[in-house]
Amino acid sequence: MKSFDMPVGPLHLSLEEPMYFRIDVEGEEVAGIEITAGHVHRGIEYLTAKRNIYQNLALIERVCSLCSNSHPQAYCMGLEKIAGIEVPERAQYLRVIADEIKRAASNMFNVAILAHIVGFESLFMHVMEAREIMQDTKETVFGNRMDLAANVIGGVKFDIAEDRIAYVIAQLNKLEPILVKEIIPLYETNSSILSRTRGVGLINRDQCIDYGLMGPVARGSGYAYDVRTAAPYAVYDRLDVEVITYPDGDVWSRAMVRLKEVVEAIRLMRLCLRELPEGPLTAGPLPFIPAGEAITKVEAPRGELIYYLKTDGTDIPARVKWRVPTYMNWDALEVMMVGGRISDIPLIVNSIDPCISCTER
Amino acid sequence: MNEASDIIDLVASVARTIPGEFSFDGDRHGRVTAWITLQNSTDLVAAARALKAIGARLSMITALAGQPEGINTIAYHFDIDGSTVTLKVGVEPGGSVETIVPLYRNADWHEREFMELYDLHVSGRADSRRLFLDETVDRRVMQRLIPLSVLSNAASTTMLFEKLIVDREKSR
Repeated sequence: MKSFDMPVGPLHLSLEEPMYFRIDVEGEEVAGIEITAGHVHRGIEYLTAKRNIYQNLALIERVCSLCSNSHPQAYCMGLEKIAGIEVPERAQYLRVIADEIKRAASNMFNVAILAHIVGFESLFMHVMEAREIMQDTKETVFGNRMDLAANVIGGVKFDIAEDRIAYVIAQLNKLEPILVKEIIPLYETNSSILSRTRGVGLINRDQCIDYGLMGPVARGSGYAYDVRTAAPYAVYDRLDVEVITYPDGDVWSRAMVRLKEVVEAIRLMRLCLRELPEGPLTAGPLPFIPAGEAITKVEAPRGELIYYLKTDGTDIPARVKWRVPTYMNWDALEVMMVGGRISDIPLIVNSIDPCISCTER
Repeated sequence: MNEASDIIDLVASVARTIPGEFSFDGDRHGRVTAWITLQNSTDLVAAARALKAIGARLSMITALAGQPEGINTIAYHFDIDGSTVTLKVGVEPGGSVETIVPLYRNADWHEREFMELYDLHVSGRADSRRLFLDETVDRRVMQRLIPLSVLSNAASTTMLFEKLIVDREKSR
C-alpha cells in the first residue's frame, strides 16, 4: 500500500484559525500526525508584564473571542484572591450569567460547524440562526456580541435590571424549544450525522486522563470533571450544576455533550435571573493589589482554564500565565486520528473545538 | 471527592519526604491551594512522582524568568480533585531540570514552550523541537529584546533605562 504525507492547513474549513498539520497516510487510513503551531503566536503573556493590572483586563479579553469572558473572569478572580477582595453577591450571579451565555453561543457554534463539515447545510444554518438568539441577547445586555467586557476587579460592569430580566427570559424561552425539540433530536437521530460521527475519532477515558484532557472532549469519554463542580467559583456551588457525560468518546458524543450543556446553561441562567439578589455590582473603587500570587480556575466553554498570577505591589504584574483547554487537545488528535479515514480528519479536528488564538496566545 | 483536610494531609505527606518549604491556604468552597518550594531542583521528578501517587494531574507549568533574585523559577501546577498544588523549583540562568513527560504526558508542550521562550533547558527529553517560534528565532528572544511598547514609553517610564542598565551590567 502506498503511503504519502498530506499537508493540511494552515487554513482549513474545520479550523477557525490557522494551524498546520502533516499527516502520514497509508491508502485511505491516517498513520501519523505532526502539528506545527505558531502562526498566531502574539506573545500576549509577555505583553501582560508590560501593561498595568487594569489595562491587562482589556488585553486578556482579546486572547480569544469564543471564550473571551472566561479569561478576564479568571484573571479578576486571581487579583481578588491576592487582594482579599470579596465580590458582592449580585456580581457573582451576574458573572455566572455572562459565563453561561458565552458557553451556549460557543457550543452552538461548534456543533453548527460539525453540520457544515458533514454537508448538512440546512442544519448548519438552522443552528447558527438559533445561536443568533444568544448573540442578540449579548448585544442587548452587554453591548457586544463577542467580547462582553463584563468583568472588573471586584465585580462586574454590567447590570440586568427588571425589564432586561424579562427580555433575557423571553430570549431563553425562544431558544430552548428550538434546541430541545428540533436541534438535539436531529443530532440524535439523523442518519447523515450519525453515520459520519458515531465511532469516529475515538479516545477513551483513561487516554483522556493520560493526555490531561478537560471539558466536553473528556466528558464525551465519560470523564466527569467540570470546574464548576470540582472547584466551584462565583455561585456555582449553589446551582447544582449537572455534569453532562457520554461514554463512547467519539465525535458524536463530544457534540452531544456540547448540545446538552447549552440546555444546562439555559437552566443556570434562568436560575440566576430568578435568584439575582439586590446589591452593589463591585466591591468598590479601583483597588490596590498588594504583592502575592494566586491560582484560579474556571470552566471555559472548552474546559478548564487555569490562571497563575504573581504581583509585586506595583501596578505591573510580575507574571500572568494561563493554560487553555485546547492546549492539551491538540496532542490527543494523534489518538483520535490514527487509524481513521482521511475524510474524517475535518470532523475530528472540529470535535476538539480547536482554538488556536487561545493555544498560542 | 477528597475533603480539604484529606488533601492537606496527602500533600503534607509528600512535602515531608522532600527537602523544601510547604504552605497552604483554603477558599470558602473548601478547596485547597498548596505550595511546595523544593530546596533542590534535582528532587523535581521524585516530587512529581509522589504527587502522581496521591492522584495529582498536571494542570500547567509556569516559567518565571528574569526574577530580581537572579534565579529562574519553574512552577508546576497540579490538580487533586479541584484543589491545586504548586511545586516550585529554582534554576540558575541557562540551567536545566529533568523532564516529567514520562510521568505526565501533557508536560510535553509546556516544556517545549518554556524552553523556546526562556533561557531554560530540560534534560531527558526525546523531542525538543520548537513549539511556537520558528527555528530561526533565537532562544529567550522575549527576555533579550526590547519591545516597541517599552521604547515608545521611554519618556514617561523608567523601563527602557532599567532594561539597558541591567543588560549592560550582565554583559560586563
